[in-house]
Amino acid sequence: MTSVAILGAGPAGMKAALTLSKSDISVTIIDEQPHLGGQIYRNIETQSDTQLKKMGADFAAGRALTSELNTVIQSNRVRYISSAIVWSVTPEGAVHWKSDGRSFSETFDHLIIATGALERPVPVPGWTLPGVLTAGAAQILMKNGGVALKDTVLIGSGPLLYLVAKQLCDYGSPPKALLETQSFEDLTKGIVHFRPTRTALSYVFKGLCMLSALRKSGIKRYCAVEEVSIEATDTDNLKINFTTGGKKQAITAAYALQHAGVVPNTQITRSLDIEHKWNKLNHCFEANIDSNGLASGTDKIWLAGDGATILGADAAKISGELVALAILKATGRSTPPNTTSIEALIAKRDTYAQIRRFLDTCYRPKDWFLTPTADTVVCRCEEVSAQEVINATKAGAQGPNQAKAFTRCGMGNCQGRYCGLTVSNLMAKVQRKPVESIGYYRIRSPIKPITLGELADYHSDQ
Amino acid sequence: MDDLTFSFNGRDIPFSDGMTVATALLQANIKTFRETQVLEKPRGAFCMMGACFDCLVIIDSKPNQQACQVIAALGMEVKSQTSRTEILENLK
Repeated sequence: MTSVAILGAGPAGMKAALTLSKSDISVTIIDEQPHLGGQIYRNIETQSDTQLKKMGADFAAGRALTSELNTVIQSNRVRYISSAIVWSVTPEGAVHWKSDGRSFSETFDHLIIATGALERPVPVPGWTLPGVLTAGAAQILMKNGGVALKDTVLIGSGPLLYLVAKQLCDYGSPPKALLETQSFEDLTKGIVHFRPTRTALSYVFKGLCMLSALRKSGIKRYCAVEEVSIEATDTDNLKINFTTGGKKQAITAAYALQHAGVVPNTQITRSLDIEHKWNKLNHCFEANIDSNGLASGTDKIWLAGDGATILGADAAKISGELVALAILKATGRSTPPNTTSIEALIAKRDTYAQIRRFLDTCYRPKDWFLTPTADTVVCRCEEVSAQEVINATKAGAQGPNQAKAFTRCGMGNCQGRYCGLTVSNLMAKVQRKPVESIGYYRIRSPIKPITLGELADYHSDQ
Repeated sequence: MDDLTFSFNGRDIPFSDGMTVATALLQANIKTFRETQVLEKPRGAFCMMGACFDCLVIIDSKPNQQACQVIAALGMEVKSQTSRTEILENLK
């Protein structure tokens, strides 16, 4: 019997599970969260109708997926292991996880890594101050408890910035201001990549509706913002300094919400020594995969969703279905009746890739924070500044792993999740080399912390 | 319906069913959860998705708990983590 484990229960993982559940393959979902949905559809099953309205139609659409999968799980056609933190994955297909103080492991014939994305770190002076969160964090607060932060300033660029601003408005807490980093020039460069497919046009229409709603709410928008720095005030607030149109300005708010796009979470693929390539448009590393999602150098490890490359939730569903069909094919099984072909799914996914080219160009991350100022904390966990990383590079550190040995950057609890891209980019700038030649931290298990007690309380049969 | 609360550094924090500790703390406008171990700087929630490890607190005597991942429960005792000086003090 063929067994498949799916790591992550976001749109990609859920769609893969549903597709595979129609075959005789044994399907197991291992999910960090207590309920289906991943981050994008987090807590969707417990949202009231009012809350669903406030979060918008795209969020509400996730419920169809979670409901369908919950039914399949209840009828035992898919095994769902929730609140499970994966701490190690091996190239042979073994998955080690911990849950409720105990540890478990199981080996599977195929693994689908659908662990999604992280927000790109936006290191500016003061970004470690309490009250500075990611825009995604503000969204999770609304999803997890209907908590809409009051007195916020949003900083950065991209569709999620606007979506969170709108959701905060609908929750009755309109942000004080949007400090947007994109310039008019960025938008004109982006237009070059725009192809008027039906999906792209509906996407743009949605975006324009959102912008119009934000305009009506009277939120102050600043564009081509640069040189942001944040200070704590003596009233437990944040003073956000920035430059726009050559002028220096400042706004005081209780919270600063940063967002400059999302990037694939590559911790697991890095720990498997899978080759990674540099995505120039989205300015991030991605695991090398073929068009079906099979990771290079392996015949049993697959990627689906934003963890492979950022294409959004709808494309994640497509890639989840695609990987499942590819596994059915690879294991000599016929595809279920009435399924879209692999080729058609790839073509559909490519429409989203084209939209991304447009968005990534319009809302590209800016050099002034990709290469932070010397006094900016670059490694939040070990509190290492950009200057220390620059010094290490000048002293001869060739790449991030040597810089890690010199300065401890990347050695902290987050294991480089929020400093890896910054350090690689910073070292590339100092050495005047392309980022892809600098490389990235070597990631090793445990990819999430595990105590000796949890390791010792090991259960080999689930 | 009974009021659900947990304590944070001795203060009662209300929460509703299903909220994480971090969500409840931010609902109460509490931004600082702990102090860092190297430079003793204040930190709180940042990513809210269990990836950044900034929201670490002591929950029912267990340190290094990610407040954004732990579902709040009635009577939980949540405390700030501080830098190593607290450990050194206890050793005296």
